[in-house]
Amino acid sequence: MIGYITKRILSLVPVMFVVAIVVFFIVHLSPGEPASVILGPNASQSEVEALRAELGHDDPVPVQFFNWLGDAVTGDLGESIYANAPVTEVFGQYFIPTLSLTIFAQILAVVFAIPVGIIAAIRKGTAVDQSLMGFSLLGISIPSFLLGLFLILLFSVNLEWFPVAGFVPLSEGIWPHIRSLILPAIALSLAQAALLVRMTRSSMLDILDNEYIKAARSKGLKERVVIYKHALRNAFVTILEVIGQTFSTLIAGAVVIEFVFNIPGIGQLIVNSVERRDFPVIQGTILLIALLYVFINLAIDLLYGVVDPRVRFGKKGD
Amino acid sequence: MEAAIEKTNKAQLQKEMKKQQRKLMLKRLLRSRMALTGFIILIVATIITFAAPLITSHDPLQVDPVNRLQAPSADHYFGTDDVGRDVFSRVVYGIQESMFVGLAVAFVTAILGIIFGLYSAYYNTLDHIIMRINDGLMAFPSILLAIAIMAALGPKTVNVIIALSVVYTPLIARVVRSSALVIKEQTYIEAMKSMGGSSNRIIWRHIAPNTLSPLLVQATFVFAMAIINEAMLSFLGAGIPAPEPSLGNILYDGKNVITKAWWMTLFPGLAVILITLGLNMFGDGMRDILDPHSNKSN
Repeated sequence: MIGYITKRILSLVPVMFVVAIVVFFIVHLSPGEPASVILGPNASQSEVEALRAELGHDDPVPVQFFNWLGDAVTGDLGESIYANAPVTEVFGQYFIPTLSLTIFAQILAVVFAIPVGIIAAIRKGTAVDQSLMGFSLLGISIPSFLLGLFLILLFSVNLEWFPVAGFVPLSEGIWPHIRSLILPAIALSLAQAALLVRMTRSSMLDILDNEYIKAARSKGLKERVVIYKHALRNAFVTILEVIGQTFSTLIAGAVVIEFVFNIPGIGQLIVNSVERRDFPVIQGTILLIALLYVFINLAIDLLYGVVDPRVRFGKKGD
Repeated sequence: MEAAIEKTNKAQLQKEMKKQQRKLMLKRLLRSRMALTGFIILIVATIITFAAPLITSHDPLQVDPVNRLQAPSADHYFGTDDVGRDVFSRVVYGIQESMFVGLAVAFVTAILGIIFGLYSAYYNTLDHIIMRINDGLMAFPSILLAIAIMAALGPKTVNVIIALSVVYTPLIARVVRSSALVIKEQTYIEAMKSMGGSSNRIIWRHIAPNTLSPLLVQATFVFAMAIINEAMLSFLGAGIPAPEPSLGNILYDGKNVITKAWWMTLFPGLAVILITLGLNMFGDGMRDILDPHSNKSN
């Protein structure tokens, strides 16, 4: 197991290096000079040059890159031009709503999709199954930000069940906080939920075909026990795999959903920073999200190793 | 004894194969109805793209503050926006813009993807480098990478195409590479090599044509994803710059007046959904028609 973990972590090094290069060069691609952006339009040429030297922008590009990388590795992602605070601090402030939304959406998707998938599998071929499958296909096809806008039109503007854009922070109570996240979480989770329904259904169907299920049934176990104890447990590896592959896309999706519902999270931060040309924040945020993305995928991979011993020994057929 | 078993096995196998084949044909027929529906949607979108000036009776940029935020009517089919522009015209020209961006991204990624994919499949050393870069690029959530590139390059249509091409080339390169790796091991490639065929000739004349069908299918999906992402970028204010009509821009303007003007959100939103649905159906259908094997794995 330890060997497996080390191997997986080492394989991340080149990926992280490329991620760092890409993030670094995004700023160097930009036509505007960072020093003159920081100082504003009224700065004199000599002031700009002084700041350039101070920021180290006169150094050769590789030197600048390794300086930046060294800082980044030690947790220093620079200062926000707009907020005059370290990027990591700004990121921390905006990250909590994003995390809350993502986790809420993930819970919603799992709680909703697994039972629905099981029902579809048990009722295979019936009208119930077919309509559930039809809905899930529709769910996969609608981009989440459009779904969010449509939900606002229906539930906030038309039915007036929810405020149009009323994010309530966690500090004002759990229930108001959750209520303000219901529509965004539905919008964010639907595509994943729809995919989960389909995967749960198909893996349940595969497993229900197995000999050991027949054996369980013929020894007189209740159908409920057969489904939930024997079948679902085995289907769980596939389900976990889908959750793992899509959890990180939820975070990315949250960025756009936040903008739709005016939630002050990472999405707002990025959009605002793009408008303000606050490059250190853009750079730092994208880097941190990519890191998160990579590490979530690593965690999920390691989790398979725990759940399914075949993975650890490299016998998994892919 | 063994021969007899083999014979019965063979007969059984053939019977089974025939049965499977019939099943497959039926499935393909059903699926190709899906491809057909997708195709029809695409044809309509293409007609709208080319006939935009003929279909619309209003200038999509013509501001008319007196008639702002008017509900859909016989004169303004999709109503007017917050500065009195005709939403129908803007949606039509937005579809034109989306189709253009989507096609351009699909085209650029297909060309770059086939070059990177083929050469990395053929040359081992190159493979390591290209695939590490690929992994790195794919480590970013696609929309975030696109936003970051747009932030650096500035909001312009060309830059949207560049940003989305950077995001999706790794996807195509990976697909081309994996099918090229299989073909590279075939005996006829070995034969070409031993006959002294040059590497470039083998790559482009003998491997490339066999990677085309997965490439085409993947390019269709990239087309769809590019349309969604262009709409998202413009919706976030990081895509196509303001006065120019694009589906995302209309949604951006519509978001501020969502309590007063549902038509500014509903119509461009439906346009995005329909076009991408059409592309995905077409892509799925094409995959089944071009590559019957894919049915087995799904």
